[in-house]
Amino acid sequence: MAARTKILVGVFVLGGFVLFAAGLFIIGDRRLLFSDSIELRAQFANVGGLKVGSKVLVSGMDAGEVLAIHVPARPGAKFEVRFRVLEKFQPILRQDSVASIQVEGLVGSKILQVDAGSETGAPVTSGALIQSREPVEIADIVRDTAETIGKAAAVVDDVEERVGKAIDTLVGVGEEARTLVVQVRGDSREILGTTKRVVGNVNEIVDGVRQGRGTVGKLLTDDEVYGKLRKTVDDVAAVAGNARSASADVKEIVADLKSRDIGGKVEAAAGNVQQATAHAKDVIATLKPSAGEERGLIDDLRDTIMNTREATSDFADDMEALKRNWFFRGFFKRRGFYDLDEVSQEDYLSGKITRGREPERQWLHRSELFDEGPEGRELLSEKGKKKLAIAIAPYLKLSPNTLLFVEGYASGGSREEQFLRSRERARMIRRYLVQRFDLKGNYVGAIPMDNVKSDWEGVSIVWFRDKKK
Amino acid sequence: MADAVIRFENVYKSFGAHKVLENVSFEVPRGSALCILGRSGTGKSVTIKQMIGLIKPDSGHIYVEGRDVTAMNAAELSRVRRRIGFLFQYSALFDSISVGENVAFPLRRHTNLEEDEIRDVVEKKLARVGLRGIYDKMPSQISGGMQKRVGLARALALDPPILLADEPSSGLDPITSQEIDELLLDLKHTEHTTMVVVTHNIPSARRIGDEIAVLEGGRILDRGSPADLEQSEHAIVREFMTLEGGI
Amino acid sequence: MRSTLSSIAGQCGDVALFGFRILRDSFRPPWEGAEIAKQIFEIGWRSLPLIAAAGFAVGAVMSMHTRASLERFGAEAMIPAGLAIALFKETGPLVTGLLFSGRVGAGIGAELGAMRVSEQIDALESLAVDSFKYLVVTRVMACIAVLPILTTVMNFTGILGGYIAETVISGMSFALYWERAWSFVDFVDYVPPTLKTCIFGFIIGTIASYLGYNTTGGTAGVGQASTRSVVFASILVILSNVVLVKAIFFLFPGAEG
Repeated sequence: MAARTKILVGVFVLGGFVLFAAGLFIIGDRRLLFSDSIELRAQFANVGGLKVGSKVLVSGMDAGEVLAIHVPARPGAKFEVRFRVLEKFQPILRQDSVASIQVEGLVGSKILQVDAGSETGAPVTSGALIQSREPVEIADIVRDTAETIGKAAAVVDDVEERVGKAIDTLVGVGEEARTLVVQVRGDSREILGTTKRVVGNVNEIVDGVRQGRGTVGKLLTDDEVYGKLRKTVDDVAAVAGNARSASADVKEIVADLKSRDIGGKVEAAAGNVQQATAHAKDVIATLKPSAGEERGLIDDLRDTIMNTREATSDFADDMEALKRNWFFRGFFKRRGFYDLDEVSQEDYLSGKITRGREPERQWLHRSELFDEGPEGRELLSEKGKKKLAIAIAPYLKLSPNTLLFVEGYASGGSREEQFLRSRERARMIRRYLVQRFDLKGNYVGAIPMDNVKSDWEGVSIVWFRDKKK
Repeated sequence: MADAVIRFENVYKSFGAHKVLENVSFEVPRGSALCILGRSGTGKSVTIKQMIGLIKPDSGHIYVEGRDVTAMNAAELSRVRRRIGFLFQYSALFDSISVGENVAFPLRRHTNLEEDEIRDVVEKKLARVGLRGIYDKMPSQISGGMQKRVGLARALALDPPILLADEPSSGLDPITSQEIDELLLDLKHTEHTTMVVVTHNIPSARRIGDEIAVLEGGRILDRGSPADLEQSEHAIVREFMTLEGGI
Repeated sequence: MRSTLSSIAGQCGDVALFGFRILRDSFRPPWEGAEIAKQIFEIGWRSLPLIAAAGFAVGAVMSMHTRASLERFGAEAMIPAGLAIALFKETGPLVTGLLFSGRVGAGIGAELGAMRVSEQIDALESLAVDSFKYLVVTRVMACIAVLPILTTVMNFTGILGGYIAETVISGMSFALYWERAWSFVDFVDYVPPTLKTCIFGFIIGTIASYLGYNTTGGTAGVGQASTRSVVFASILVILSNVVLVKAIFFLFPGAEG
């Protein structure tokens, strides 16, 4: 055989072998067989199709493979999955690292995903058992998502319907309201306030959802739902415009009243809505051309205003419901939509909620607020109501989103008595303020200040103005 | 008969229903040449192929240098074959290797000669059959007569004491055929090679054969020197011997 | 009818005995190393252009087809992996086996057939050479050695062909293609399917040698031996593949996934 042939045979056989071996090494390298690694364990009730040899990812990076899956000895016990992870990942793995079984891609094979541990977690050594999270089936996610979208769509439909009603009422009221603005000055400001808040909330939701915020936010790029929300917002904005122009009219009329020298009385009572309203009523009465004809109209308008308030309040309730829906919950939390109804004294004093905002405070003694009721209980007096109206007046000028707390104080008696009394006082005043001035529970808190060293008897109303930018 | 190099004893051979050899017996003394003469398909080739165990007889014995070929194992057969040269009807040169390598083939397999020694022996064998300078030619590049000579050179490469030739003149023109006969005769005279030559060519058989055996219908009709056969009791044998070409 | 059946059974028995004889003789000296090397050159090296070109084309075509099917699911990223898995697991070995049956089966059938009718096999025997060992065993051994190598060549050129087809359409970089191609390939997808071609090699070599070595009927017989070699070798490769795939599943349970 010629020498050349011999060389070619050698090249052929060796080359073929090298090529084959190269394949082995490529696969082995991908399976990370040729690097140092440590062995870890995780337990699952359901291994969700994971197999020996399945890939292991650490924070999304190829890191090893599943070595063995031990079937438990009895029904209640969990499967133990032993897997290999490259040694270089050891520094970021902790005993509180969580292993979960996931699908590679939408239809790929199952993989074991391990998250990096917490900064403070104990470091892992070979053989360590780490945390695990049971696999979530795609079918479950899809089902939940469909349900959520359905719920969200229903909520939006409902909101739209109610807002639509409110708008109709408001628009209908628009013109007539002008004739009644002085009387309804306080009411209209409340409507404006509530509406602004509603618009703010809805805008926030819409923006948040549009930007895909929230865990499942992305899934809600459903055009239909978005369109509905958008329309709602536009409608509400239109109403707000109307209301704003109404309030401009109020200013005009107030100026007018001033010029007629009735303004002095109005000005003096500016802090007290009820007084202002009462004065305005008188003014209206003087302005009324004839009694007989107009009574029906005014009653109608009153009813209308009542309806409007009801509607806007309903809408606010809807917003509350929305906030409690898990789908939007994360979003509201991030924005700080706490319900201050249930804030504890501890949280309040820690400043977690007020976040360093400057308090503005009004002290009110029990003697100014309460009458002695039956069985020694305190009841809010008429005088107290007036005092509260004056005290709250500066707050009402602020953004409706300003946090307000009613601190209850009591001295004397046992600790328990102090706690119960201070809490009773705070709650009573809060309840009254919320009802009377249509404040919203999630912005108004009641805190018993029983542990605070103070011999004050009564309450202190504190609000936290947003920091000026 | 102690010096019979090849001896057939009551050999029978049939392929299916076709009886090729029926009770064939003969012997070839050392240094002599036997020509087996017969028409095509009378079992001449079968006869000599049996001598080196390429075909096994159905019954009977075949002795080569006194040992029974029909009862041999592969190793013993291989030893016998190394002592026998075989010239095939169509030369049967290995067509994938050169002429020289064909002749060198048995040397490479069965001797420990160095490369240059092999080359030497091959050139000598080729010269012996009248060929020069064709070592590197491929079998397909040379004529039928030359192929036959190369086949002969290959058969003689191991200097065998016995030579079997299957139709050495078939497919050749009379002159070339005669040259091959001369070569065989020369071989018999100079090397005292024992020969069995199968042929259907009467002049060729006359030239080479010390004895001629006429094979007809699976039997040896008659056997003897050419002169004896001209006086044969079988008319057909006498007729054969008068022919000037092949039968 | 009965005689036909018994003749077929007889043939099968003959081939089986022939195969056993090959296996037995391949363990007995003398080993015709030089002749095996020569056959590796003849049937291996000389098959390279055919196998490489075919692999390239098969890879390109498979890539285009997988694209067509995976596009519907938006899973174009799976094309390289799908191609590599299909190629390594089945297409590479089988196509190589069939091409090899065609080229080498015909070659061996014709070559041995021609040697038989021109008495070259007898000539070998007359020169005290074991023609079976020298001609048949060496060829079958070469087939067994060569097929996994050719399959590997087919696999890699197939991957390359797939890359060309892919990059022309999507402009994917080679690094990404390469990375994705190997992303799902496991040892069981690579080693057993490649090594099973040794058995294809044995089958092809044995069938072709059997038909060539036992040729009768002159030149016409040679042609027949050659044709039959291709037909029977191809059919047996395909049939044995069914058994082999099942056997691999049985021996390496991971291969099924």
